[in-house]
Amino acid sequence: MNIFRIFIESSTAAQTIMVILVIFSIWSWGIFLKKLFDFGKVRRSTNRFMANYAFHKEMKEWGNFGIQLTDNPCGRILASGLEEFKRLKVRVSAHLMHQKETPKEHTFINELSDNVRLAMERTKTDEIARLEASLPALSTFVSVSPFLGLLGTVWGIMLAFLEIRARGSAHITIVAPGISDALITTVYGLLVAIPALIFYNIFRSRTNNFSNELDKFISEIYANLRKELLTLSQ
Amino acid sequence: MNRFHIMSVVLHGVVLSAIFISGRAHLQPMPNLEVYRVSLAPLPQPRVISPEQPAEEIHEIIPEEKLEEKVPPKKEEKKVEPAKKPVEKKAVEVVKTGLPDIKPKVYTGSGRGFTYSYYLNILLNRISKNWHNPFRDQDVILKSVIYFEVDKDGNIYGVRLEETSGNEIYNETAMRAVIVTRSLPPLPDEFVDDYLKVHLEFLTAR
Repeated sequence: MNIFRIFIESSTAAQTIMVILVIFSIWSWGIFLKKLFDFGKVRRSTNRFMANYAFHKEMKEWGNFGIQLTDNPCGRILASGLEEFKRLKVRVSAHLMHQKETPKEHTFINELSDNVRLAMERTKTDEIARLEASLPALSTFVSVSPFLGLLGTVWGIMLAFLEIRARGSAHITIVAPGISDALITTVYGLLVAIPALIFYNIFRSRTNNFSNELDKFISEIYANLRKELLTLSQ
Repeated sequence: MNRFHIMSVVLHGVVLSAIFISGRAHLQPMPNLEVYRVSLAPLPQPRVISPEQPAEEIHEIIPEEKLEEKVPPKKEEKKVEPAKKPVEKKAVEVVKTGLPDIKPKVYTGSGRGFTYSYYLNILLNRISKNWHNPFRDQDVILKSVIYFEVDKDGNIYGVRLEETSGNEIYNETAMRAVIVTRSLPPLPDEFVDDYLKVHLEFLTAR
């Protein structure tokens, strides 16, 4: 089978569809390679950070992570949590200087500590959005490519029938070109859609796993920061 | 377009080139064949063989146009009419008796009988598949007998024309059917002789 020959001998409509499908294929493989690189980079930097974090779980040590607070999602989440915590700390200290602590004030601190969690969750959402960028495009290729192939198929069959009607004969030499166009565009469509679907599922699953890891990390950090806020009030 | 898309373009280029090259590799170069120019001639019309008629006269190729010019249609009708009657009679006989187009006469190397009818059926099926009778459905009776031998492994050898039909094309198609078949299943294990002699009759029948 010579795919170039089939391409050249196809009708203009089939050729157009095949060109579009080749562009889709190039694009989806480009996204795959980019995502593979991005996920590898994120995974490596996060692993480095978590290895460091395992030995420095005290809040006062977190400020010393340096560049590790900015080069990976966990570090950025921690940095945003710390920043919010510092802002709250000033506010709570000022509040406590003027008033004696009561159960009502304790509730006030609890409510404020939620701001820390929300700040970290906002950062997490940004991180996941960054990782998920281009996945909608991949999803579009998955769903559109088979339909484009199908369009070529229907078009080819329609041409074949029009030829039969025009010539008044159903000889194989009249029917074959249309059927050939019909089949090759479906093949192209599936060749684009199947790898794109595999890539999409791989990255979707990786993103979900990473999101769960970040949730776990956020709850751990939040517990530590809340404890620190409560010690301030005592 | 970032570097990953460029990498993807390169990857597609490599894959498509590989497919293109492998597609070309499968194409074998055409052998250098000598070209002969031929002019098409009308197929010689078979004529009815009468036992008295010598075989040499039969495969004389006369173009149709000449026939039309030389022989007035009325005369030809007169000539053909007496000959046609026995032909039709024979054809009817063939149908009535239900004879196949090919009919074998089989002799063993030692002269004993060959009783394996299933093997003969296979032999007939294989050869008749390769036989394209050029005078099928025509009111003529032609008979060629091809002789050949089958060894223990089922290989066909020693193919020769034993009895001519008088029509060279017909003889050739019969010979070709046997030669193209080339081999048959091995002879039955119970069959003790080394080879089988076959005299195969190729008979046109309507």
